[in-house]
Amino acid sequence: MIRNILLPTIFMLLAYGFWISPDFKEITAGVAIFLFGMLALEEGFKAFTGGLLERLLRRTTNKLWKSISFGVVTTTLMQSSSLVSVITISFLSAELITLAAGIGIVFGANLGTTTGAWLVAGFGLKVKLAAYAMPMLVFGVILIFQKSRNLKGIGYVLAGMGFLFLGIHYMKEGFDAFKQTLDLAEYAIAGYPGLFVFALIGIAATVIMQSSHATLVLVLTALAAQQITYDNALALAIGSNVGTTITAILGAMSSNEKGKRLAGAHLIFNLVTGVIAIGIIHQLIIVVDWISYNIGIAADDYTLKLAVFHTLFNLLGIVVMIPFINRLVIFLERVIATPAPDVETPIYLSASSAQIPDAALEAVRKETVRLYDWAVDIISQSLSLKREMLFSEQSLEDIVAKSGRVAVQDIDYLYNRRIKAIYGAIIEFISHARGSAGKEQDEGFATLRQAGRDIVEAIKGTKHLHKNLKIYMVSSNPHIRQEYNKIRVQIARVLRELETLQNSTDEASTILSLDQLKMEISERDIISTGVLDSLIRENRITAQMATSLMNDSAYCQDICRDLINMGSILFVTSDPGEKEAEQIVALDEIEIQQVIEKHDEVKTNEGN
Amino acid sequence: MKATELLEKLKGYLGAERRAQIAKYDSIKSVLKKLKKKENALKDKLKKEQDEAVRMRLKKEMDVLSAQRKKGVNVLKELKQAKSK
Repeated sequence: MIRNILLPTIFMLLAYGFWISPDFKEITAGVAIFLFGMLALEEGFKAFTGGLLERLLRRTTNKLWKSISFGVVTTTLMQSSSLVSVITISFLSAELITLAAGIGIVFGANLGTTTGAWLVAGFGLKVKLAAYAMPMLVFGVILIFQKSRNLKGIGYVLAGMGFLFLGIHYMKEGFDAFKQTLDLAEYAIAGYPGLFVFALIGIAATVIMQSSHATLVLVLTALAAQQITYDNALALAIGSNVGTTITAILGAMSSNEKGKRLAGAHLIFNLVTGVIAIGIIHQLIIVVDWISYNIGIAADDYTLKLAVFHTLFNLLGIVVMIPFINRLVIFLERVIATPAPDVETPIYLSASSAQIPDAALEAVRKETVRLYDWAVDIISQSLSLKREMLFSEQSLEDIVAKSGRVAVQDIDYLYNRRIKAIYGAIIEFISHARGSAGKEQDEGFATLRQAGRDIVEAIKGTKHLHKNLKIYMVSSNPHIRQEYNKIRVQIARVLRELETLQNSTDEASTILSLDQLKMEISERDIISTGVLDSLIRENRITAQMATSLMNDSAYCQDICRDLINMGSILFVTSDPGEKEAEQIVALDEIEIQQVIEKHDEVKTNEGN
Repeated sequence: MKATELLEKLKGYLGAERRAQIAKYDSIKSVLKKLKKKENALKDKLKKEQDEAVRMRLKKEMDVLSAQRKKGVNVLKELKQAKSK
């Protein structure tokens, strides 16, 4: 219920916001573009899973000192700790690196980002990677259109980075209105309360301006105008260090739990470092003065002194946090837990029943019936037929003709969610239970395992069939549409007959009634009946359609046969003697063919 | 003691393989009986049915049933021969 109204509510609130404030529109558009960039980045890095990049990353981050150095070097080169953090989040989401390595990189990035202060302060140099955003987008999109997997991957990475910068740019533009209202002199408070207030302002300013460098410039200007004291300026720098984590937190929003853990680590590190720095700020000022004096920085050169301070407290943070990295990993894994996969698990297979062969056999039978039940769901969905319609009294031809709408299904997803775990558990359970089973039960296990395999094979066939079915069942060519609808009817008929057999108490509806179905399937083979030839000869379908139809007709036959075989194991009489007798009397493929030929012969004679 | 009971007792004295063969024979016979019943029901249905398409389907069904019965009867014959040896 809440889920149903949540999305429309968010949409309405956003729409209202867009209506009343153009700045709000710009900021949210920036966030949206930024998140889209994250998705593209992740997609790009996924292309390199198992490749050179993964090996390179493994080698450069397999030890803590290596991952910290990696963070320092990459951030120095890119001049953006936020970018390094979000790229690391995507590495982690794509499972290219471990969480501990990711934390190391983020720690290193915090140190690496201080080189920016040095470059600005020392050489007046400012590397602006954002200037490359537009070219990145252009080159990225061109590369995305390439066929090579690697080029595509690089394209996504470039486009992703381009979108990240573009998103940040829009956020900055949107927040510009708020920037004007920021007058630091208003908050000048002495002592520790003042430090905390300025740290908070530093956080807010960095969140607003989306750049710790911009905050730094603001701090230097305010310091030069004597709007704030030196220690308040340092508190602002500390705050900006915490505020810069907002980019990583934003980035983690589109990421999986691994990315969120890293963003959590980033926030914890910067918060802890900030609190420590505020706590010992007076001692730090002394050390900064001492270092500045020794390396020849003038006492009133606050720009360079701020750079020294920035480096010093980040280094201090790393030294303090390193011993706790493993605990941090455990803590984050506990707090941001991996969500339990939404997969179906067995309900009848228990360790206790595996000990008693008869109970084990019955448990496997029940679980296999359940597996079939899920399979019916998947197959009927892939045929775009509703289950309740499929098992109604209505003619299948009518149902199929009426349900022309294609429900696009991800069969792999459904298979992984509904079938895989149960089937795997059945196979494992049988292997354990067979150890204590007698000859008779052993045969029972073998046939039930075969039934499970038939179900899985039928789903696999459905997956292949679905690819063309979804195209041709709505094709503008009525002939191909009709043939695919016949395929739908045929599989639906088998499912309906099996349902009847499963629920029937009638003695006569046994395994033997499946022979009738087998005959129908053989009769409808479009190749042996010459239907396919006639469709091609009369130019009713294209050669491409003919190939698809031929393959899919074979898939349909296989699906039906697998389902019938499964039915002959699962839905037969429980009397073992009678079951054996029914299997003896049941017709094989050749005998069914003979019945068809005899039937056709009689029909021809009657016609003459 | 009735003759049938005597026969049952006699069956019990026979070997396991022989007993299994008899059980198989009985099971097939029971299945054939069911098939016969089904065939008769289909015959009745066919007589009453007017729709040609349904009649055709029923005929096909009967063909399958008759092939199954024929197969079953042949197996019964083989079993009978083996029994008499």
